[in-house]
Amino acid sequence: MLVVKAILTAILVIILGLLYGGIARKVTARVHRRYGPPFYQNFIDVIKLFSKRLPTSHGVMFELGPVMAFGGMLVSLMFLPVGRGNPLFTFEGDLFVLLYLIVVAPLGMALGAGQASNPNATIGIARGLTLMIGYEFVFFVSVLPIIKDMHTVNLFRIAMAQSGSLSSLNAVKYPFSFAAALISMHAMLGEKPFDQTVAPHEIASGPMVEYGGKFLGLLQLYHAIAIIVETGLVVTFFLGGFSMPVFFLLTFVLFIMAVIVNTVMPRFRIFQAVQFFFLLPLVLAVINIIINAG
Amino acid sequence: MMVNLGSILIFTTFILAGLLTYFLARVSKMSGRIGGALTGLFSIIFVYLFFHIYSLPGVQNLMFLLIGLVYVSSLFLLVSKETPPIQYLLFSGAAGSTFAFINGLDFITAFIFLELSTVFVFLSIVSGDRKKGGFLYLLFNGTGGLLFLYLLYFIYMKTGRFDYSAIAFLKPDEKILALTIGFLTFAIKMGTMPFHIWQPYAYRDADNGITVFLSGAISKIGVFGAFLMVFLQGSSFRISGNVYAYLGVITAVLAGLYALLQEDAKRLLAYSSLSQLGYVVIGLGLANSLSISGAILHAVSHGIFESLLFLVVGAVYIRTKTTDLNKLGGLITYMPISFIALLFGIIATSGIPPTIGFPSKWMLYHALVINGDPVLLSLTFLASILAFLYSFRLVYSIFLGPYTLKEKVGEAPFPALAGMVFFLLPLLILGLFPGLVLKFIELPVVRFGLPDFSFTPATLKTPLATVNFLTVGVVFIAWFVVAILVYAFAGRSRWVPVKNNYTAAEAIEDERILHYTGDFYRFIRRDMNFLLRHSIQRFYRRLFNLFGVIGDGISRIYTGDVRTYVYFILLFILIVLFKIKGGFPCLW
Amino acid sequence: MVSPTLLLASLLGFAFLSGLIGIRFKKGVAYILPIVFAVTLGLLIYMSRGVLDGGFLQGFTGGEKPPYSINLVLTPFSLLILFLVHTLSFLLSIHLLIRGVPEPATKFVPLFILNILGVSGIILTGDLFNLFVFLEILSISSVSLIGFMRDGKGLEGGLKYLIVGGVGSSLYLLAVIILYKYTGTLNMADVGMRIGEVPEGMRQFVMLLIIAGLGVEAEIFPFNMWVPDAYQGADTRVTTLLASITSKAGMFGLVRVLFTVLGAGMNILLYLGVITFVISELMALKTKNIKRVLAYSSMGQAGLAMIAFGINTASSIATGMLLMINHAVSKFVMFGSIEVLTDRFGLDDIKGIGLKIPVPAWSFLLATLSLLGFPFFIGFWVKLNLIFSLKPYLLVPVLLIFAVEIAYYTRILWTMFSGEAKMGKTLAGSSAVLLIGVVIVIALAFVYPYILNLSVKGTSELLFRGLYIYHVLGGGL
Repeated sequence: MLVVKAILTAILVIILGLLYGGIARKVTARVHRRYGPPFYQNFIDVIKLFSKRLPTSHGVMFELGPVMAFGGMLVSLMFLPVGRGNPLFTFEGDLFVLLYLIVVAPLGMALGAGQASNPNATIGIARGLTLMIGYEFVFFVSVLPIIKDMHTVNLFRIAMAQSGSLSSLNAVKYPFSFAAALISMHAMLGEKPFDQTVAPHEIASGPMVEYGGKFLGLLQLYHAIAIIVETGLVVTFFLGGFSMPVFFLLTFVLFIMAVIVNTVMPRFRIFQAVQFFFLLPLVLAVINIIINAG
Repeated sequence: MMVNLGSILIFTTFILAGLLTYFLARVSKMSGRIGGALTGLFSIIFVYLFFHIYSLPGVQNLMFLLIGLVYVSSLFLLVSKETPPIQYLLFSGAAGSTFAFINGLDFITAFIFLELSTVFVFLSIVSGDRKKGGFLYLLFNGTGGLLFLYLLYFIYMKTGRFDYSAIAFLKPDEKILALTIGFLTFAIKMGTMPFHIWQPYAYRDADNGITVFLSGAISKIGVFGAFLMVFLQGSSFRISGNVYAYLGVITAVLAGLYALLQEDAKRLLAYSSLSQLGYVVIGLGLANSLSISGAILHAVSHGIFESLLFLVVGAVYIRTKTTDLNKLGGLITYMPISFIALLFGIIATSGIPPTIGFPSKWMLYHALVINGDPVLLSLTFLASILAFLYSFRLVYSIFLGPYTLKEKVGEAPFPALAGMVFFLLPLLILGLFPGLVLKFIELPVVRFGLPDFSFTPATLKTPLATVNFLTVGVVFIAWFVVAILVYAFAGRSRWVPVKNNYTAAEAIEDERILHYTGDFYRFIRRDMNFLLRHSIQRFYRRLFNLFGVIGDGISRIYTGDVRTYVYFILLFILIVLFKIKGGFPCLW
Repeated sequence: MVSPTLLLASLLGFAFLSGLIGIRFKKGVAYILPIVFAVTLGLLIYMSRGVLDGGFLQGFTGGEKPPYSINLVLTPFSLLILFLVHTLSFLLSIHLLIRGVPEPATKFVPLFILNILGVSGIILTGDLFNLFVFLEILSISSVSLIGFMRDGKGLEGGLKYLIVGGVGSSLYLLAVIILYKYTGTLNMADVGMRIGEVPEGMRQFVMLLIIAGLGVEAEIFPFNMWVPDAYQGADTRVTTLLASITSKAGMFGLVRVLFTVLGAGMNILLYLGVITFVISELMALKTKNIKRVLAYSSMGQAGLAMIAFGINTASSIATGMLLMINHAVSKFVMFGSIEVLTDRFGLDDIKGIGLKIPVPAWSFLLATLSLLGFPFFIGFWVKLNLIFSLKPYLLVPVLLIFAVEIAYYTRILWTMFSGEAKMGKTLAGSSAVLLIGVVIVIALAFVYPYILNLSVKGTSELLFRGLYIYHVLGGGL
């Protein structure tokens, strides 16, 4: 039963993630005053990529990298309480378990791209990891007052504690933290102005540059799950306690907001991005900690 | 002054083993290698069985197991390369004194073997090619020994005893002083932040096999001693505890930051080791049962993964003769097993499940959340992000990227591979069953008040949450199997040389290095310049100069003019005579 | 029973003989040195039997009992130091044979033997005036040795020593005269017994004079100004002799007179010891010339020994003796190594020589470890013992200065073992003797309980002056 539920969750999230991606492309196109691809374009892409024969490979780790990214993201998904539904595993997900599992996927991608030994890929990784200092730290600081006040790091309990009235939502209780978390989520998703890792015009989509065929397909799937997991994390912390459809709706809203910002923003230079995180979002997060302490 | 007899015997055993190996190695290289492995194994088995180490109190027993593991593995690295005979002897001496230190139950024994380990490690580093680290090691650890000597004197004067339990007889404020001194001593041994200068140099300059032991085992002298200090003081510790926690977190963050910027694998690992030991200090500093358990668990996991990393880097050095990250690259093709070992090592270093690095960090985080200091908590998290970054740098620069060496190299020698397996097994098993380690320290940590914390072999339960590490591991493995299945069913791939793709049709000569590896995190260097500019080294140099200035003042006396010399003699007599006339009875 | 007189007589005889031999065999004269010290060592071992049982061994002149004759007394304390001195002299003479005796050897050899005669005399004598005589022998031979190479630095150092030493000797002589005036005797035991007859104020004055007079030889502040100049100026072979052997005589004399004769002044000794220790070690930190650094370090160690004696408890006095032993042996090895390693002594000049000439450099390193008090060497036990006999308020400064000591020795070692060696002196002869010295330092650590036992035997005569007086004056009755 548990296994079935886990697999169903995974399939649902992959489908939704691909759908979000497709809609995002459409939205971006409309903002650019283009027509854009159909909203199911991502499904077509994935099927196409997986059906390609003999994709290029540069070695064992190059091949296992996307696998690790995909698998790692799936594992993280298992520890995220999706909506109000019964938690998947007995201990219901622990913030630290999730935070540490989430980095498996970037690690896998970085390892794979590392063996590609394309300078573009490596530069992309170096940027991505550098940026990580900024957003991971800020995200953690922004959820600090929540785990401190609720005295738990159990994600399900944190989510459920917010159900009921609108004012019990953490987004209302901790508005500054919410803002900081949104900014760091934006960087997690790799949207502009924080798309230094991929930067298509600059380093030719960075870590992904050498990938094609089923490897790129796996990475697409990984990205699809990552969208839900990363937005879902913010939803759980700040807008939690709703039923599953609302949960997915909220993740969608957050994602589309990020995409819209993405369409109109230029890119930061990498060190500007890191500096930015240590100025505005961090200050926002700290303000809320201070307010709460006082 | 009675020195613990067991410690002396343990030490003697190891010294004899070392001497035997030394002479065997003088006879021929092969006999030295075989003899080294055999005598080393024999002596550790002998010590373990003969001295009933397993009946020692929990933490000692645990440390013995851990150090034994590190000892065997570093011995394997030593015998799998051309090690100068004298290194066997010095290594055995260092190992023997470490074991003897852990075995001891009184301050005299502790002091003797603390100093002995300092001397052996110093001699070992200095008899190598690069020596700077050795002298820094002596400078810092010698001074640390003096601090411990102060503690020894202090406790003896107050209680008239030397055994560890004597601390219980001190008054509260005396306890705090004793604790501070003792903790500082062991902080130097661990390389906690203001006292860390020696560590990167010492780790870099030591023989590779010795470095494994230095990082995995000798640093445990510091951990064990610091634990002992905390343990012996019990409740009076909390007053100053947070200061140590802050020291620990500063160490963890700054050392992590420095580790990012290193261009030498061993120096990178040295800073990483520092940073990880910072966590241990945090845990000890918070001083509740959860954090102490977490600290000890993290010390164990540090011993395992850091030694593993040093072991792999040592094995790489055997084959490539360099640890310069800019010169290495692409070794995954030739040393796949070493790559896997290093990969798991860095996964544990970054604290990713299902390895041992995770439960220990998890416990520390929970302790920090319960403690409730947001600064401590968030900086600790920052340190672990940094750990992720420098770990990736390590694996990337050594094993990934294009192959940069001229000729092909072989897989690491067999003993070194065996050593890696020795570490990999506990690294994974204890990651799933952290309770196995915690069982050793169940009794001692009861002393430190209990925040509702309990465990079974696979689960840990704190007031904040419960985690079953076995489940995490199983879910992890299960989804990885799924991912691999997806990958496998999606058809085969075709290998293409790296440069075919991105250089397109352009013909480029092989000498041009096109990949990006040197100064990997240059963005951070640029960003964090304001932090990195203020180095503590400058402070020490100033301190040195300050004493020099005092010396300058004094040197006015030594004029070099013989007349002043005579004046001084007469002046002395006059002054003292005057004093006597003025009544200065204590002179009589 | 062999009289201690024989020891001095043989030294004097050999000194005379070496002069005679030198007339015919200019080259061979150096070979007499090991023979001399082998003989004296043999005599010492022979004489030690009675002393180790707790008795004192005396020799008189003129067949009269002490107060009426000049006497030599071999006590456990003096036996310990004498044994140290003669062992090191023996090693040094072999070292000199291997490394080459300073030329002209015909003059050097008698001076060397005379210097040891002075040292042995100071240690053995039971007579205040006789001590002055030996002091003069010692200082004149030392001055000649310091200026032996007739270069500017050496002569300067020698002259300074001559002047300061002269002042010191005359102060000491003044003290002896005063004592003689009040007690009518020159015998140490006798003066010790009648010290009550000297008026209070005069006694203090005498004490001051003696500290100032013998302090010059004992290298304590502020009478030790000449030390760095002399050590630096002298040929390194001579410095080895002065630092490891000769300096012990001054300390011994000072301790003997203060403890046995006056029974006072321990507090001043303690204070001066602390001042000496602190100032010298800080100076050493600042100094760049390695010979001067070692000289300052010698002064510091002398200060440390004086602290130990000044505390004036059984364990601290024993520690003081152990400190003298440790310092003598380690400094012997250190100066010996420096002599083999280089002939220029700036910090820049010794850069990298350790890599080039490993054996003496490693001997230096190991001896340094002993001096700094690390285990596997006698120094460790000495340091441990010292710490536990210290007074609480002295602990922090002493430990701090220990740290300073570690710092500057680390710097020296670091310089020695790093960087490119400048082409200095390349004659790396055998330095086996230094290794023997190292072996001694290590071996002493293993027979430490025995050594401690010996020095504890020596403490009682210093702690209880009545014991010495009784043995010398009444023992034969």
